[in-house]
Amino acid sequence: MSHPDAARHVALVLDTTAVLAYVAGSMHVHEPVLLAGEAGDDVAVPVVCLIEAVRRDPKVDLRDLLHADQVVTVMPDRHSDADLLADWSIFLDGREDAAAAAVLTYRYGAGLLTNEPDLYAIGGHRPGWVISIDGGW
Amino acid sequence: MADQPEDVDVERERIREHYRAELARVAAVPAEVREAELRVVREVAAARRRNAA
Repeated sequence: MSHPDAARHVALVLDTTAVLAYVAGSMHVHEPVLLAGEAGDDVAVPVVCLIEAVRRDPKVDLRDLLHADQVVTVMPDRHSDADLLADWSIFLDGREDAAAAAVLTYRYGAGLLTNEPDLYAIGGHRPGWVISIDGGW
Repeated sequence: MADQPEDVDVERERIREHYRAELARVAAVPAEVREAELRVVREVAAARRRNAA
């Protein structure tokens, strides 16, 4: 298990869809991950998103992602983040993987890279910290 | 016809430029905006708990 270095800043969190896109070779995930590393920042991947990625695609090969220097695997703190995680899970209709990604995004003040940007809508609006993989451009 | 290497490089640089701007945009999101959004999430969760009780 790896954890963010306290001296480094987490710029980006990948959710399950971003993990699967990375493994599929998407430049729209590889490049932001590389950019974060070039800036000296970390990229956090919640463990539950890795588990969900494997559940969706049992043949998924996560080695390249997990060997990237700037990628750290993390879990919300089961004590200090318990209430926050529960609230996000309810808000996201039971999607615990997405809830973990959202909690970590808040904890680190990071961006969340996702292929489901509208899943995280709050009050009908996509939060500013959500980065859509396709970019909509 | 397969993409030429220079086409891939141009596309890659366009993608990098896009996400560089996106990361800068996210970094500029004020903390108070995030906090306000979080309050909404917590209020919605609390309301759903009450409705489920």
